[in-house]
Amino acid sequence: MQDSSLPPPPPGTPGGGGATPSDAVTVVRFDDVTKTYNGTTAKAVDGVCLDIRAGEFFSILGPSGSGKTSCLRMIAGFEQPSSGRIWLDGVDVLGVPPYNRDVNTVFQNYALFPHMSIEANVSYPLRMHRVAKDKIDQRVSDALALVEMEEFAKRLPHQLSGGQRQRAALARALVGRPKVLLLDEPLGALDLQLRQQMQLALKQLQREVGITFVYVTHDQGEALSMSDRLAVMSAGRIEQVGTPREVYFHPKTPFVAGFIGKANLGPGTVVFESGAVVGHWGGLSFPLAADTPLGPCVFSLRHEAVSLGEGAGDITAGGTVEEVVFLGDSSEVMVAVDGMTLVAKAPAHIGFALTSGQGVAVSFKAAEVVRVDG
Amino acid sequence: MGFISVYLFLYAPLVTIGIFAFNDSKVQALPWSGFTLQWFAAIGQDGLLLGAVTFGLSVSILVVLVASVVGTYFAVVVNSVRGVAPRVLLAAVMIPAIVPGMVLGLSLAITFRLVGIPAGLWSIVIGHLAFTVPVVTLVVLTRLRRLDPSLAQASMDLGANSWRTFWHVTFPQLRTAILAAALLTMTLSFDEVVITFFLVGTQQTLPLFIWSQTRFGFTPEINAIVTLIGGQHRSDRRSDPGNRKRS
Repeated sequence: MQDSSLPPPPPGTPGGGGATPSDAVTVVRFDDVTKTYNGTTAKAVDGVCLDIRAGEFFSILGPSGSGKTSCLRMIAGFEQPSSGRIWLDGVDVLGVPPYNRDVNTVFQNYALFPHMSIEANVSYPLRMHRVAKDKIDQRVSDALALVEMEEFAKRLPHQLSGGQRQRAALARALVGRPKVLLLDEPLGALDLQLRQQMQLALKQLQREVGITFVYVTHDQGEALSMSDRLAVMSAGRIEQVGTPREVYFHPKTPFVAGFIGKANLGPGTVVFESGAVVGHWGGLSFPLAADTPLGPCVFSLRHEAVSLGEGAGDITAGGTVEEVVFLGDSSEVMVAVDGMTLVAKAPAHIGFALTSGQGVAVSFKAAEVVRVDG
Repeated sequence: MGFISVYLFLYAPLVTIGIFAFNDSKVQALPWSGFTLQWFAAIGQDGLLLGAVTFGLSVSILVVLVASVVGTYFAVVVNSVRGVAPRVLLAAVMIPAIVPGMVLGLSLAITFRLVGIPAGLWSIVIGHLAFTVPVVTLVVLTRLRRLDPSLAQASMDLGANSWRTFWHVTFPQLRTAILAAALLTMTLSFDEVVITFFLVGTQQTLPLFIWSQTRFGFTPEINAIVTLIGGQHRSDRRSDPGNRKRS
């Protein structure tokens, strides 16, 4: 409504590269999309290129203000890109209003219509699309059965608990069988136990219906446990796209390494010495894969990859305990090693036995060290 | 004591008129000369008084109908535009409600004469709309601004265009606010004097009729009708549902 001054579509297919919009398995494509909100100069979304494949559970993970929700709102059609294009199922959707897009959204606050029963809420998209009356009832009860909400059909939204509203919102968004389901931090308002139940339920639901899910969250645990692939965003840019394993074990940027899980990060160099590629990080030296780019870099080593005591890995160094932080099921032990601090994740009972200033050896596998800015 | 005297000051005149409506005497003075309902019965016999009531009601009902629709429309428009436009639009709508009735009444009377709108039902209705539309706009806008914007977005997301979104999602949540605005409009219009005075033709509205009657001497019949209307308005306000709390 407000964005009447959209820039004209760029000529040709900018940034097209090898992929074309007709690519059958790509259901959502971002093509160099930038979004600047009226009255601001900062780019909420900055040059995002992204392909989301049909049938996958795709997460966009990032801290608040990283632009992940803006991306979602542009897919839904609530916001228009300032530049660049978005393709939905092979169609450029520039200027297409939300009601003409084959995507549905599950809102963070569920956005159930307060004056309608759950049944009426769920039948709403079917009524709006003028589905025949006799088919509506069947599809509504199917959708409610899918989320195990049949017995609450006649209730009003305010008569339901948070988790029940969540499931009703899911049923309403799925009943029209959209190409893509957008989920905007849908578990944000639920308590921890319910969140974990719903994570599992969501993943099962996605497999069952086979619809592409695009899931926005700031919770790395949710993103890692549910996604087929995820994109990590920071400051409007995509830092990395990959499977949960790729992103976790092979972070490409310091941001990703620091945001997903907990990692030791520090500056170092990669050099070619006596016929091998070697990394230098503080006082430590370790062999690296032969294809690692040379030069100054940032190294990342996950907390859980560092063990206390000798022999757990091929690299061992002596150090002193600086501090022990008790986390319940484990302890974080900060060890000063050759002028830098490495954090090791240790079982809680080992943490209890350590005191500050005590000498301790740390060891890790050289293969666990990742060069993250290459 | 001071506190009670304020209430006495506010309510004594109302109580007085209520008492005299039941006093069995043509003279508006104490002592009390017995209870009667004859003044209420007399309302039904007085053609001029009934004419004024009917005319006043016709004016007010027309005003309520038009003001509710137009005011709601204005509120929706003001709420949907962004930037400085809503403030400018709202200020422009509000001015007639703020301008003194005397100024508004006089300027409308002059304009109507120029344009050739005869003094009568429609001139009064238009005059009343000038200050009731802003009231409806303000009441409905206040409610609109408290609505969760994600509900309208959810509706659009689920396949409803702007019009169907308004009809199925926004309007049902505005109903109580529109009803409250309509009741308020009815009250404001029915006893409006100043603007009406400038625009009235040969047929008077109730307050103007009463005012003109008082010049010939106050009949207890007037006490009776005023008591009825006062009671009516009180129950109006009590039944005003206001805004239901959002769940």
